[in-house]
Amino acid sequence: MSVFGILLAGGVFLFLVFLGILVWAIRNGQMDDLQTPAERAIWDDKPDPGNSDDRT
Amino acid sequence: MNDESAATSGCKHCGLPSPMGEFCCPGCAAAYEVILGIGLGEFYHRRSSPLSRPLVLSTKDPFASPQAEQRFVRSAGQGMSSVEFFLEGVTCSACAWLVERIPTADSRIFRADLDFGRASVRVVYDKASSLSQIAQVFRSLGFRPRPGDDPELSRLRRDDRRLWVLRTAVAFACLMASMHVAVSLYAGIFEGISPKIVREMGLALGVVVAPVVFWSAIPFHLGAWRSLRSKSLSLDLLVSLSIAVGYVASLRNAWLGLNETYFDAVAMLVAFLLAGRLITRFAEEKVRIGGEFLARELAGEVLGVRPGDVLVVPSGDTFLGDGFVREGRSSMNAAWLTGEEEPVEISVGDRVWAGAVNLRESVTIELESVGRDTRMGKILSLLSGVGKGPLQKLSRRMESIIVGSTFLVVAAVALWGLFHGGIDANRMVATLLVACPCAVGLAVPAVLGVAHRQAAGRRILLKGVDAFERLAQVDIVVFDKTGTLTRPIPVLREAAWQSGVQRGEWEKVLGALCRASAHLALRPLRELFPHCEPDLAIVEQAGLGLETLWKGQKLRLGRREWALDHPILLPEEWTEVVFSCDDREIASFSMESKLRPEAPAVVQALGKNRETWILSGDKPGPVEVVAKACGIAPERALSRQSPEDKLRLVQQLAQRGKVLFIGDGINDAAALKAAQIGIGVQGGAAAALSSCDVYLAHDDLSLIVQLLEASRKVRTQIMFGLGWSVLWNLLGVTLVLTGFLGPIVCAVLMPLSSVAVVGYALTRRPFPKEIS
Repeated sequence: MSVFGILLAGGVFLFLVFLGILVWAIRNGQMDDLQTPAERAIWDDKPDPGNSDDRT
Repeated sequence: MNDESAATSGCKHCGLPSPMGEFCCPGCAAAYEVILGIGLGEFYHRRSSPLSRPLVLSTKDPFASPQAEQRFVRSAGQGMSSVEFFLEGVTCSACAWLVERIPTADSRIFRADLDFGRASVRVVYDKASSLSQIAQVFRSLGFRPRPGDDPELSRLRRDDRRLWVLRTAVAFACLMASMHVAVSLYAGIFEGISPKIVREMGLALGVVVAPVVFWSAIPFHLGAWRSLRSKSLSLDLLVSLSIAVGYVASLRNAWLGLNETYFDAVAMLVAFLLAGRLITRFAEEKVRIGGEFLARELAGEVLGVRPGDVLVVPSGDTFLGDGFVREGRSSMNAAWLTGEEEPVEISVGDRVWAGAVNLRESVTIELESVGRDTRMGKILSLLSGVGKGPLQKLSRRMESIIVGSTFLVVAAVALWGLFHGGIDANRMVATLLVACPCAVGLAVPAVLGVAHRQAAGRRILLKGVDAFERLAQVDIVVFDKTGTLTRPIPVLREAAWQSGVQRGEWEKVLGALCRASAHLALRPLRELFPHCEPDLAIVEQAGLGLETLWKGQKLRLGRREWALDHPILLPEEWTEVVFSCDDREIASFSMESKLRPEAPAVVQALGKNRETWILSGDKPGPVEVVAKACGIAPERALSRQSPEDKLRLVQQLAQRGKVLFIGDGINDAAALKAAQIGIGVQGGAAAALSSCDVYLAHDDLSLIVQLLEASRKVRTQIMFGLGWSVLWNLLGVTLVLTGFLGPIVCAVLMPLSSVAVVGYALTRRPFPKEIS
């Protein structure tokens, strides 16, 4: 197998990994709201314990 | 906490003007106490803009029924439930902060995830709590939770949105990957590369782009299939064919080891088109949410209230339907309906409207209509009317013509190649790519979308997408007088009592009579006679007046001829109201309709290059005065016009040109409908509102001038967008046929054309920046 084949296989593998991450992110609602996270970023206080994952 | 900042800018809670003291209403006072009490007073430091007035509690809670629990609540596992509310009153980052801090203050709530853009919040809470209790937490903080989408519908919409994002993201990811490979391939070709590697890299490109062609582009393929089934030429058909031809031609070339492949061009085409459609879908969703948000003001449909229900409406709560006050005195804010923030006093017999907020005291109301039958429902139904205007139809026709012409050109290229040394697949692909009429399809919706959004921002509601186009063609403007050029509520000029009449004896009866009708001419009398005689059986004779029997006497309040039982000759406005007892005059009240201050300037501005008319049911005198003040020729100021007369004249004028009718009353409904375009003025009758094409929800006639000017600009912008798109396509096809452009450049040029059209639309401002 030529080096090109190895690179191609590696590229396809990485592509699938990132595609998987993308699908996971979208399914978890990461792309649902693009405005509120930007608002949260400017709240200069500690994260809200009520909204932490351990409560769900 | 330091609340000075709040105090200095009006109400301590909402920041709106507070003539009554520290707080503008009890709802704000309660919300203020609750926020301080739960230790979230920092909210008032963070707040940057005024809030809307809050609710304290709702007597008819939309979330209190088992049906609501069943419909809106879903299990979130581990003893938790979840619900999604639309949350009214979230106006700034501080509101978002406050909402998301609720779990720290209320142990029943575990999560409150706000979606600022969609104004919705997903709440995860203790299963032991009821939905009503959770909603009350938000109400107590001054927000108005409204039922969100049905969870199932919400899930479907969310999944659809996510699928579109994923399709677009995959298309862009594959596009970038394909460009990496393509650049290496091109570099290799120039630097030296073995044919074997060229072939392998070409086929690799085919693999990388395959998800785009076979998955991301599915919406285009489905659209093309629908187009074929309906035997019509659509944009999707051309896009799908371009993708298919580009991909198949590239695969063939790659298999043969040729350098010419267009995989990256195909990926770019799909990625850009998907991105454009995704943006359009987001914009549409915002419009939909906005409309549904308003619709939920009606609430009646969700709450299950019915006409005839008697409800106690506490201070700060919203009226759930149109009706009248049965007990109590208060004031209401009906700004949404009237455009006036000034509180309106209400007492027994006064009408209340869905969406208005009860401000001062608790009142008992009886509902007459709910949901779509309310005045607000009728106004909102204007938003749902969708039609296709001439320019939209022109756009569709141009799209079909371009698609058809492109197929013909491609066929000609194929035939020409067949007889001259072989089919030139490159040129066919390039023609398909460059002739894609995406920009034609985008020009009209992009310009109209911006114009509608700006109009809505000025409280101008347009029914149908063609309203702008029809407005731009107006030749004749016809005004109603009362309520349109003059203020809808007249002013009491004179109260004349017959000699020897004991006023005190009649005042309570008059108070009861003038509260039994919604007629605007009786409004000034309500202030004059604040007390009511109870238990009077009052009958309203439409257009004539009110009648009752009292101590065996027939009492009438209304038009002079009717009150005194004289023959009624002609219809007219109630500029005089007569009170009679057994056909004997007791008192008469003269009313005066005041001219709106902006009316003369508006009539003059609209009269430039257009005919202007006044049609009124009033007597000649007041009509002449208004016509003179507005600069309308006396022969075009017609008085004593019945609804039929108005309709007839509008129909006659319509034979000479495009007629714009501006009115507000029930007597205007037929004329509004018959005119080329009808504009309903704020505060008008429901029948008139349902007949008009445009509704001014702001009490300012000068908006009509802005609207007509904007419609002219919109028309110009649409024509420019369409012209640009056609020119671009023609130029592109010419360059392809003459051999100056290849498929790759065409693939870049095609989306650029769409971007240019959308960019042009977004940077235009059909309406002026400031409302005068």
